[in-house]
Amino acid sequence: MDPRIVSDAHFAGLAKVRQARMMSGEERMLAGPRLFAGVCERMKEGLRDERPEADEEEIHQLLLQRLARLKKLESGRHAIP
Amino acid sequence: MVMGSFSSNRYGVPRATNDADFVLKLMAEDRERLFSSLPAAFKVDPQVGFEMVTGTWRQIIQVPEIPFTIELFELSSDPDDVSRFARRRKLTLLSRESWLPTPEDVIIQKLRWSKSAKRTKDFDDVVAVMGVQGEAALDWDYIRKWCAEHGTLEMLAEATTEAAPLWEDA
Repeated sequence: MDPRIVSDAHFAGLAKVRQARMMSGEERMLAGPRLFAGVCERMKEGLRDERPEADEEEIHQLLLQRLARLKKLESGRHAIP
Repeated sequence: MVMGSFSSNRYGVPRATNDADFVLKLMAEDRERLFSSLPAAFKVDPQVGFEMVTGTWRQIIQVPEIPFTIELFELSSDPDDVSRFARRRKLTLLSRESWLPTPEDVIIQKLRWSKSAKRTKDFDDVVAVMGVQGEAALDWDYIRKWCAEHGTLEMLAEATTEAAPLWEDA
């Protein structure tokens, strides 16, 4: 691999860790659901683009369906915390 | 005790999550009391599942409109689970008392799951926890002891190699 890519990956990882160290433990915990809310907003933007005729309730239902499908792919009935 | 991604986010690099996992030490009658006290928006899955590594009781609670999932796991008699629960720390979250495992126990558990479920995100969480906590802050003898029990020493070495460059300014 090009050593510049390896170096960029190293600094990207370091930047994330430095940013996380500057946050409190509570801020880091609460960031998880906030980041997820941001993911949902991006997914909704994509759904609105796909289905311009759909109203917000339909978009929300489509989002729930896609998330459920993703969850199903990720885990079966047996799970781990 | 809070487990899963909330616990690794507490000690590592936060990642998006829409589920909260809890390990509970509850009697059967306490479960019923807990479920009946939940707000109407919380939907308790009628089907009970099982935790993958130790096979203990697992209950899913959905909050469909957000959407958010809560998974409750019963404390097992597995020696590692018992040790982790005994070492848990009391912390404040949103002005409420909450219990979390130590960072060492998050690393041990996530490596165990990574081995069992082959989930790359668990391994990434381990590297992130090691990276943010720093080498000097972790009890490596304790981590190695449990990883030897679980057959995850090789994965621990791999994660340590990945985390080492992140320790340079810890």
